[in-house]
Amino acid sequence: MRRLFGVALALVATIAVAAEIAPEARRSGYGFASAETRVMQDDDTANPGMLWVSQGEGLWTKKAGAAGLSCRDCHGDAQASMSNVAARYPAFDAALGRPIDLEQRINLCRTEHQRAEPLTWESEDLLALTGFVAHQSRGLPIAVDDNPELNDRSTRGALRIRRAGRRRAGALSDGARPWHDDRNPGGAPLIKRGPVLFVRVVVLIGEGRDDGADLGDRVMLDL
Amino acid sequence: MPIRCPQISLSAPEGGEGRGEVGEIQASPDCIAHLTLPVADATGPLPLPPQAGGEGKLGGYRPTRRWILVAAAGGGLASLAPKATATEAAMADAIRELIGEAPLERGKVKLELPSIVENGNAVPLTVSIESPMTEADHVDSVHIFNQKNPQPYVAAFHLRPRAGTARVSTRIRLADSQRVVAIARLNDGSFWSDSADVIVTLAACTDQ
Amino acid sequence: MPRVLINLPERATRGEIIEIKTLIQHPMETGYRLDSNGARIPRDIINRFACTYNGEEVFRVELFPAIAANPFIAFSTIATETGELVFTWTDDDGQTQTESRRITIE
Repeated sequence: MRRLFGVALALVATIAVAAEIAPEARRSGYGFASAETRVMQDDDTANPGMLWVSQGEGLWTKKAGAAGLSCRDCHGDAQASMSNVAARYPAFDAALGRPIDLEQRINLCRTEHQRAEPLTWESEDLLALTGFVAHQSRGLPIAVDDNPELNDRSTRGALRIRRAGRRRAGALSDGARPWHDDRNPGGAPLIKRGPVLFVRVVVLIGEGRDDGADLGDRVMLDL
Repeated sequence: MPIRCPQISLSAPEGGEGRGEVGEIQASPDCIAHLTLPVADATGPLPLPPQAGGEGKLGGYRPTRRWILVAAAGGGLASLAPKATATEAAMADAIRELIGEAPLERGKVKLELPSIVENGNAVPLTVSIESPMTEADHVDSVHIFNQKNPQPYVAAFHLRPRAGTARVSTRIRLADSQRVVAIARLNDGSFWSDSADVIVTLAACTDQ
Repeated sequence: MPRVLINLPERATRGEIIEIKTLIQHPMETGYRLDSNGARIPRDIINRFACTYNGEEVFRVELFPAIAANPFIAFSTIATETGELVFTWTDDDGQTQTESRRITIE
């Protein structure tokens, strides 16, 4: 157990170091993908993620919930209204008093405005909608708020769930990392819910290599 | 106090490590899982050459992975799925079923596969065959076989002269580092082939 | 209804060789995976894809579990005349999905 703790501390230190990457030194995950992955991502008709973006486009206009509203009813054309939205997440939600990611934001809209059931985590529909919304920010730089409350929660001593969010640039999110099972498309890490509370630590390694190494080789540490 | 060997999964969340991959627990008397660390100051392009030891049972065949592996308590089983693999014999049988007694000539066919892939679940493959694609001289079909997946068959493309070019692309699954063979059947009944060896970092088919 | 992406030019010159790329949503369940209870997940794949051009088959492929999920298939054909290209995917249960695209020859 002591060895484990020592390892955990080392990882926390690594996270702290990872969080200190200067803005100008940050690079998109695209630059770390292998040549084959890049070719697949560049071609919208060969990129399987686009199938879910297309599915999300359909969901955008689908009315849901007791209010009988679709996303479009409030937000209009996604290309205009959702531009740069994904780039700002995770964001600090003042009402909830904690950080939320894009999936949670979509579900908040569903429950509060559409008065519908929230979409299940990792479900096809949620992945599709999230992918579609994120797609509207393709190519835009990450613009997560430098809110001290957001940072405090992210790096506070205890180990927290953290995504490789800072490495995203528009469409390329966690879901496009090369080693993920292509049965699970979309932008969410595979977090399993269970009766035991556990914490997953994501360690970013493999930085600084511009030779096709895949970004964000990660370790899942279940405590 | 006896230390129980930790049963840990050192692989990606959904499993998928093949046998002999870095990450498989190396049993040792004191039950400490060996860590395979990347060379921090590696020079040159990846894959790094295998380091002495730690490559797993299959020896210095695979490149060292860039993972930092950590022993953790609790949770997960080492990848224990019974591995169904076709053998060279199954692939040979499948090929013989296609070509019969005809000779298999090398040439004309070009099978393009990456030499190393990170994810065996989506390996891009392109086959192109030199052919004028006229009524008199064209490719009838292209058959893809593999050596180590549970089945030797991958795909069979059927072309017409009006394809214009004999070139097809798809994405395939590879369960292990292995050889892939493409065989083209021309309209005159002759068979031409090409093969490619692929190193697979994350195996398909055997994950759960 | 599984989503489909098809890439082919809307217009072409007569005799031009055009490249067609197709992508369809499908898990291509191999039949070798085990679920969380250890039971085998049954095979469920698209096993056939065909393309006709004004009714005549120009391309066909038999797929096996070794084809990756969300099958991507790219092939070529000669743009002979204005008309319709019809793409049909067939799965293990015999269910089909059909998409069509028009092409105009100038």
